[in-house]
Amino acid sequence: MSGVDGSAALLPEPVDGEAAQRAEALRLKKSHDEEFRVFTEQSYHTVERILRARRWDREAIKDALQEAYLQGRVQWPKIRTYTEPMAWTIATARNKLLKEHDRRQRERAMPPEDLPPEAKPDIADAWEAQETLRTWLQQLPARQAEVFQMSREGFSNQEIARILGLADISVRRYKAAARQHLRQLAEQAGYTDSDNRRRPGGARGPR
Amino acid sequence: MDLDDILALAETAEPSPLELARARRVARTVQSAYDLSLADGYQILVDADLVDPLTAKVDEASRIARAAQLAKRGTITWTIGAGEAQGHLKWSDEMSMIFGNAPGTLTLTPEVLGEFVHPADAPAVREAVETAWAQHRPGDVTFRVIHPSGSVHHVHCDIEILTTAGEPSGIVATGVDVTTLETDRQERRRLATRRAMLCADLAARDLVTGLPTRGYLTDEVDRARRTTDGALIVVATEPATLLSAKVTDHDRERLTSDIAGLLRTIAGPGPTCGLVGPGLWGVLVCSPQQGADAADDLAHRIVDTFRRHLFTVQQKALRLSTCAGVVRFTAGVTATGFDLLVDGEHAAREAGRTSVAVQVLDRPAPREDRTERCRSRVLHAVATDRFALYAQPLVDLGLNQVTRHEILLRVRGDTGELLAPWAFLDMAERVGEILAVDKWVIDHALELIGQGAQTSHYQVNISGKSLADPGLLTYVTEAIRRHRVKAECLTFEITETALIENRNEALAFATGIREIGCQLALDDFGTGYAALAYLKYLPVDLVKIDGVFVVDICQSPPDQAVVSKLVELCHALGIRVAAECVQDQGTVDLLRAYGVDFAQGYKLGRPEPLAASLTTGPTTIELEIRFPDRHTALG
Repeated sequence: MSGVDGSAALLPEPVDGEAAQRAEALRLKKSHDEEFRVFTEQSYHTVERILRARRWDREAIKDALQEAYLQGRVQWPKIRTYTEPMAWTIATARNKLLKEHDRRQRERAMPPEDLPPEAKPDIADAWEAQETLRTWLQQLPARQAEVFQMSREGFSNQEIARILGLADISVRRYKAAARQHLRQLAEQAGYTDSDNRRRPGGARGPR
Repeated sequence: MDLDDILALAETAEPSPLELARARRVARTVQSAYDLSLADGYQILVDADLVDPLTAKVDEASRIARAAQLAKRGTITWTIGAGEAQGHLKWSDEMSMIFGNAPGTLTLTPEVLGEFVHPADAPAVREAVETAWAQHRPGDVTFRVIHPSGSVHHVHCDIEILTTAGEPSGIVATGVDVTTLETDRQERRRLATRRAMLCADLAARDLVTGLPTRGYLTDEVDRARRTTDGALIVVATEPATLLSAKVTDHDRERLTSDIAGLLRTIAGPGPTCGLVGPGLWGVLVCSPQQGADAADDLAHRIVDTFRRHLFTVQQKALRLSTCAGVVRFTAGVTATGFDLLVDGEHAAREAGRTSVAVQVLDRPAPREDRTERCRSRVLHAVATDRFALYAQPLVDLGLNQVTRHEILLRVRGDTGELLAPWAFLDMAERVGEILAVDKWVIDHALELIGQGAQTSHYQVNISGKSLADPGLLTYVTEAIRRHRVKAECLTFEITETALIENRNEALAFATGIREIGCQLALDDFGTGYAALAYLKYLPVDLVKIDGVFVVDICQSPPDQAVVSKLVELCHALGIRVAAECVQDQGTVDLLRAYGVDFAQGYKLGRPEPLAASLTTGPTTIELEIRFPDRHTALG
């Protein structure tokens, strides 16, 4: 017995009440099924990208996502009313990962100091750009990486603070620190010259 | 391309068909799991928090504490009280447990908190908090916490500033126990250090030729004779004409290295070649298939090529008179690697004596014959004075001048040439006749020293094996008295190539020798049998660090670690330290910086005949300080 009853009770024919109630519940479930499918297919990549900003094991991320979405489906009638169901999914999957991580108490991925030095050729396409960014992000402090990735996915500072459980003024600072950190890593890897924006008053002058 | 370009490019990435399929699969799997639970009538447990994170209406501090709680993190919040200047400090139950306290058992104050933080980390924690507060900037700190039980845990905290209406109003720290991560990290760091510091076995290679040493080849022969048939070739080479007096040690080393190169070329990659004595080369051939003739052929080839080859010394052509001995062995033979080596040397010498190119032994000689032959060789050498004494200066790095000399033995070869004694001493030690040699050295060295001005300090070598002889102390005391040598000018170096045979007797000798005023040194420290325990109970005055730790020290962090710490250790025990094999100025500077007391090596002075260095008197000894060191000594 759940919230479905309320809407069924409003139906006009009390004679056929039971059958209609069941038909209505089925219709509602069907519509929720479809709604949830669309939500999952649309949000999955974003959530995954955000979680992968940290150095978590990919398999662990997959498992946590699976579980978070399953619980999301169970509670969908409630969660669908949230401002942004994806925010709940991120927070839930992330909490699972944090707890799981503590329980096993070990870093599955390579620690930053052991990462092989960057020796990438030119970044040719969007996919390579994304992968490169990810390896850099994973060398950042976890909070900076998460905040940066979430802001890239379009979350506002306030939303980020609430989803990750951060102080309001921290988000801006973490984002700036992340960008500075990334710029350093990019420069270390030899990506220093902007190729499509020539700064008019640039110190180097035209070449 | 710069970061902005990469970000922009990454933005354009679309999920690949594979990724899209994955999302669809997740949606399908979740849906079917859900449907199954409905059909079977069981409930899927939902342990997640069912609150919309974006709309919950709570104050900032509670919101952060709640989020931390859900992620099993602890929080400490400090808020500026409206009335009290002290402010308000509290921690979550989780944080209380991270600090080792049951929730709710403590009233938290900064002092209480401070007591749990490891004293060494407290300043860092304070600084992190103060910086965050002063700059309104989040920070983080990892520190150690001491639980009431005494156990130490590593905790990582993210520090953030709370605001009320845009104004800073408090601090929140979100923390988690990272002990396991931290110990893992330390272990990784240790392994990386270990990898970086681990060296190849330098002692196995001769420094001049790069060939395996006598010890290494002996072990290899010993290994081979246990499992396979084979043969050991020993090649004896010596200059056909006597080298002129102008030929320096450096020229000799060049010649030795040329011979080694040629030998390696002839032998090829299969057999193991090694330098087994001055002018003596060993080649181990393991050839169960090829038959024993292969080794004989190789021996002939080596001898022929060596005899025909023109070597150059100081731009002059030089021929080598060469002969070889071959000793064959079968798998499981009882003769040891050393025995085979001695037989090979003997065969080579026989070949030289009877003027044949190669002398072949079908099997190792009977044990008694071999031992008897070696014994009589040593005793004959002692009886006929086939030795000479050289002296090599040691520089006092504090005073920057030569204050000591080590007396070195040279053995006269069959043609009268003086050779380095290590192969001879190895044999003498193994057949138990080293005492006779040591006594010869003591007697003759003291005689020469007694004839001189006795202005230096002299270091005389004694084998660890000889110390077992109860008569040695009396012999030394008597020699000192007979030759009128000042006892305080003498140091006896115990060479640790062989185990000290009798600890009690060695201790008695060491104590006795110091009672009459002489000093005691341990030679080749760090490679032989000398244990650290010796430093504790033997009354040692000087430790000479073996050359393998010194030759390459400028480029070798492991050697630097060993030498610098060994100096520290010795000085703490009241023992002075000398370094052998010092080859350049950089090494001298480094050793001086480590506090090494004496340095010895070709750079600082080569061995000279003892008689000469004594009779020329003290003035020439000072002239021998050729290196322009004064400026480095001053700064």
